Amino acid sequence: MEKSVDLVDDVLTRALSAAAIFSQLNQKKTDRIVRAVYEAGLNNRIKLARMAADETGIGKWEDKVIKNVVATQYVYESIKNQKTVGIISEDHESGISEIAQPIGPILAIIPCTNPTSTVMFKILIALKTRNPIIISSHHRALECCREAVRLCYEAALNADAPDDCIIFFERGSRDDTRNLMCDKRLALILATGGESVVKAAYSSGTPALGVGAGNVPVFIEETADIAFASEQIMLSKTFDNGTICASEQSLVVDGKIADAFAADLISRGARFLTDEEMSAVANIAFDSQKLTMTPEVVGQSAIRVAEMAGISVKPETKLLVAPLKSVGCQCPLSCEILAPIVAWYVVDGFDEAVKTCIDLNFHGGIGHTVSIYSNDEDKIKRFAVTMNAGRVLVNTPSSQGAVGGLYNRLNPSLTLGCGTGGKNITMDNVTAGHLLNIQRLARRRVNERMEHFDASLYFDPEIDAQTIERLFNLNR
Amino acid sequence: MKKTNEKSRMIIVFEQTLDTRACNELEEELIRAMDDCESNGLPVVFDLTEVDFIASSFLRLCMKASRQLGSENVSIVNVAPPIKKVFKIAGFTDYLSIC
Repeated sequence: MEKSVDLVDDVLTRALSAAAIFSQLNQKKTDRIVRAVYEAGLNNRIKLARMAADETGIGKWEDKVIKNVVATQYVYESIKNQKTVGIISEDHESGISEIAQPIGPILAIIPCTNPTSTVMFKILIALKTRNPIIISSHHRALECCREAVRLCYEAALNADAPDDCIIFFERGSRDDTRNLMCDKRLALILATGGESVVKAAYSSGTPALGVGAGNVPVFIEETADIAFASEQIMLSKTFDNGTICASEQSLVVDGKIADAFAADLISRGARFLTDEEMSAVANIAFDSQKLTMTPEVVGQSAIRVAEMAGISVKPETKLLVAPLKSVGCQCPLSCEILAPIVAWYVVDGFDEAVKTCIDLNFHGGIGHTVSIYSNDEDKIKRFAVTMNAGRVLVNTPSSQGAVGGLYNRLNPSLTLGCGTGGKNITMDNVTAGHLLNIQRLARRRVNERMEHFDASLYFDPEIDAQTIERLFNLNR
Repeated sequence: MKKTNEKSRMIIVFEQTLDTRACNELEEELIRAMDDCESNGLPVVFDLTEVDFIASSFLRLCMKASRQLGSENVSIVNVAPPIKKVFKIAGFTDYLSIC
């Protein structure tokens, strides 16, 4: 126990010193550091992607290269011109100026599904806001994360960043992580990962920005471009073997176009499963005790999943499709599974489709992401307002669409807030702006209506709300 | 860095920017000064009147001095407000006299 406290104390003492030194840097010096780290990350995108794929055995290294590019180039582009030091806005009319202050040491929890990309993303947004960051990696991704940290830290120091502005947390036990999370010197936990780690972060007493689980339904509406939708969904759901939490989990297809859509999917490598095959896949992909996906299938290819389930498929198979009738744990493949497995529902018209999507959205994916393929703006809006999702994506591959920057103008991010439904404090794509304390300098601007209003009327029991409102607004 | 020996204390006045390079350059001299203080039983005063930036290295030097002489024998004076904030954030004001 004592050893654990020593380790935590050492890490936080160093981080606090870094925070202190960081507080002196101006925007120009800060931006120079961020640029150096972004370049180091982007220059090492391939090496780190290969390391991550080799070490974790999850996903495809080629797709992890793209994730590393998003986490560095796209994130950098989105934050490079942002003011994050000192006075960041001034409004003469209201008399309010906003001042950006760093928040202090941040603990970043890194998942094994997107390890190096998440490390680089979190480092960039932390440095941009002059906050030191402590990286705590999933045990399956220690080496690749350690290397990503080493490269970024070296680049940061070369650009005159404070010592210990990036610290790799060589954790020894669960106690270490728990003690670190609970320490009052820690400013924030930036938690990306499974439900247990996010819950631990929120339970620590330290402010936390977490993520929720996804269970992304996609509505393929009757006006959708079938070939386009099919192509995009294949691109998205097979990306890094389905490891992104915003990847499509269920396809809800209008009956009028279901046959044509299914045929198009099959032509692109989808394989529809029989009832027996679905049971076999569910047995290896879903833990019926814990009611969650099994770690063994996460990020595996469709062929590997089929092999694990004892199913014979063609070598060109890229996606396993499970035709289902209902939603819930009694249908395990309607739950979130981060692998190239997708549920399939054929529905009769718009209302039935939206109701099915609501069931899926609320079955383990509240607040995360939903998707629609349609060319009917009215239906798109009606669908959007009914869902509970931070990201409602239109005619967009959801894996790449939700992380932002590639197919839309959402903030590029590898930490997707899910709002209160997902037990998160934000529904945003988390980025640099979330890592600042914004002070407001409020100059005197007296409310003129208050000045002209006779305040003694508040003490007259005969004066009601309507009268007060009328008199208050008399000279407006 | 200018060193002044008074009867009851040693005063060290630092100059402008105490970045990593400047700290590396003055480290040896400072260590000798701390050894002198220790052997003569003198407290030390770091005067930061002219200092506008400090690096992590300077925080380490302050910590080292505190460990060697005892925190009650190290005081840091004439700090500008932003530098005071640096010591505050780093937690040094909990055990060192900084004004």
